[in-house]
Amino acid sequence: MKRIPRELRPIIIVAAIFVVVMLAAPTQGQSAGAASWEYLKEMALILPPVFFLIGLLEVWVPRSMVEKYLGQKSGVAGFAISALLGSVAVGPMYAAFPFARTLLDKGTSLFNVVVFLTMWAAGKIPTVMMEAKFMGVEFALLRLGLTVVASIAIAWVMQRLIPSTQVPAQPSARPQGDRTNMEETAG
Amino acid sequence: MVSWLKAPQKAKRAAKAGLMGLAKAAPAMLSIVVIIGLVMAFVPPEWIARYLGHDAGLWATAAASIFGALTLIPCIVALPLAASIYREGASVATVAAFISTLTMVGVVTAPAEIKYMGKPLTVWRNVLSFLAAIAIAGVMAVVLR
Repeated sequence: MKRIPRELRPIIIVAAIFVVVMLAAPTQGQSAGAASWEYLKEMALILPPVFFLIGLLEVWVPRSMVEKYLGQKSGVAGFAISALLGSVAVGPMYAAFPFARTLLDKGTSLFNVVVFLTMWAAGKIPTVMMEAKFMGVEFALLRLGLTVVASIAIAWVMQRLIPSTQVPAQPSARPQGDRTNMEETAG
Repeated sequence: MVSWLKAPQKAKRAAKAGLMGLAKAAPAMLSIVVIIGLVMAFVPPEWIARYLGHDAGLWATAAASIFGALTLIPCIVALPLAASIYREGASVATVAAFISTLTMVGVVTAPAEIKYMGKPLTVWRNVLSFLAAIAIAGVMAVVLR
């Protein structure tokens, strides 16, 4: 395992599982392959724009601005911006994590990042519209409203539970964020 | 495009940062996609609908929330699935719990989440989201009776 970079390990493990499944149960393996291919196409459409946006955010938006609008003292407006940012998003949950990381690095409060993630997960407008079609408008809107309340509750509890010093201590996946941040605050 | 016209240097840096991030994320994202594919193949949607739809009790709600937390089904598949569970006789609480845990809690995506957000944040967010999803389901069951 020494020569294999850490980043590549999960995909190798998953690929191995896939090969085993293919050999043991070809029918399921084939439909798994077909389904994966479908989601891969979806992902290929969504991820590049997401990362391009992250790149733009890192270079163009100064830390002071993020801190002002989304930081510790941003208040209700900060909450509203975070909730909106999450709910206008398109794309699956896993696309939200790198985005949330960048927001956190730029000075967004933990509270607002959690609100953003929760709304991205369960309060996306396109999804709610689809839900209204399948489950009824009443069901969809009630769930959306409750999700907003839940996002506040979850964020509030997390802000209490996790000391702020512990939050940015995970630089493993930061795409050269530090350097750009420093340049930004210096300039 | 606009950023390119205003300052090509800065735009180049933005594009580079974006590409770097994409390259670093690709392996984790790829494995998530393959796992989704495997889950979909072994647990076909019709099977879920049959299993969760038949019983309208609390057990079905519990099963739905755990199942929703463990798996990751894209919304395009999950919402029609939720509708068919409902049509087969599941309660509002079951459907709401299913949709909420499916979207908010992600055991499959947890490794990716830990990579970006760190362990304490990931664990707490998922645990709290699970509890919140059950609360949402409870309230919805009362309101939409």
